[in-house]
Amino acid sequence: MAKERLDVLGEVCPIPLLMTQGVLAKLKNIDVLIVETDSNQAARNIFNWCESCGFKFEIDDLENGIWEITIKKE
Amino acid sequence: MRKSSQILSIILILLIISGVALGAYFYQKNLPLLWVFGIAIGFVFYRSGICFSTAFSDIVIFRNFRMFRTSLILLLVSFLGFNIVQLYSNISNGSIPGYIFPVGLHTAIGGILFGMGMVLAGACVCGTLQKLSEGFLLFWFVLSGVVIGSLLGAYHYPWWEVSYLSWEPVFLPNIFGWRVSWLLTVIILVGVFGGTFLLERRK
Repeated sequence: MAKERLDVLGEVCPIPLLMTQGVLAKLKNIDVLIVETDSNQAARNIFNWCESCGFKFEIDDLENGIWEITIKKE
Repeated sequence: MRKSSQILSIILILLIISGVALGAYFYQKNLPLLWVFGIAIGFVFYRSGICFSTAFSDIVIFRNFRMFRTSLILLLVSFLGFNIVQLYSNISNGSIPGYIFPVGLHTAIGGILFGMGMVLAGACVCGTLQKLSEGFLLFWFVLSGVVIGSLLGAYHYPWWEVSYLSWEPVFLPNIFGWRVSWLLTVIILVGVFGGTFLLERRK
């Protein structure tokens, strides 16, 4: 399973979702993308987009206000 | 989220809120009500994540109308609320509360400038306050921009009002009557709301 990490700490919407989409579009061979964000709005945007695309995702609270979203492409 | 670390801050915040409310009560009796209303609206804004800049940028970038529909609902609710206030005050003394200003070319120019600014900054004014309270240091910079811009805008507004084409203030109930203007506004807002579903389907 190919993994990739994406660090969008400090970025506000719409940049995190745009970058997530960009990475997933560019690196077609990866199965798992881990996105790290500190914006709850960006996290919500990424969930909604994953739901509309049918990707599975998990969320992890790293610290107060930092979320790690694991997107599984299936 | 670590709940134990938050109990102390919650107690502290509640103490500060009630302290300010008590102080305000001795100053003027209806101030605590406004203060609590303000806190409640801020809390709702923060928890719901309403963001007007996303409402518009998502349409263009992602073809996503979710937040746009949310702001339409917000517009409808505030319209109905203000309508009740205006209706009752109109009966009692004749002057209409609320911001009713002349519209004109300057409104459009200002709207486009503000729109570009809020999308570049990543938040509108209420979004800035939300993100500021979440701990984004960047938004202190954005907030100072908002304050400077508003001051300059207020200072320079008369020039725009005179130099650019502006029409007299429009207050719909004076033209169509309360019932028709009420129906017209609700129909337009609900129509735009429904229209977004059609636009979304036509990807």
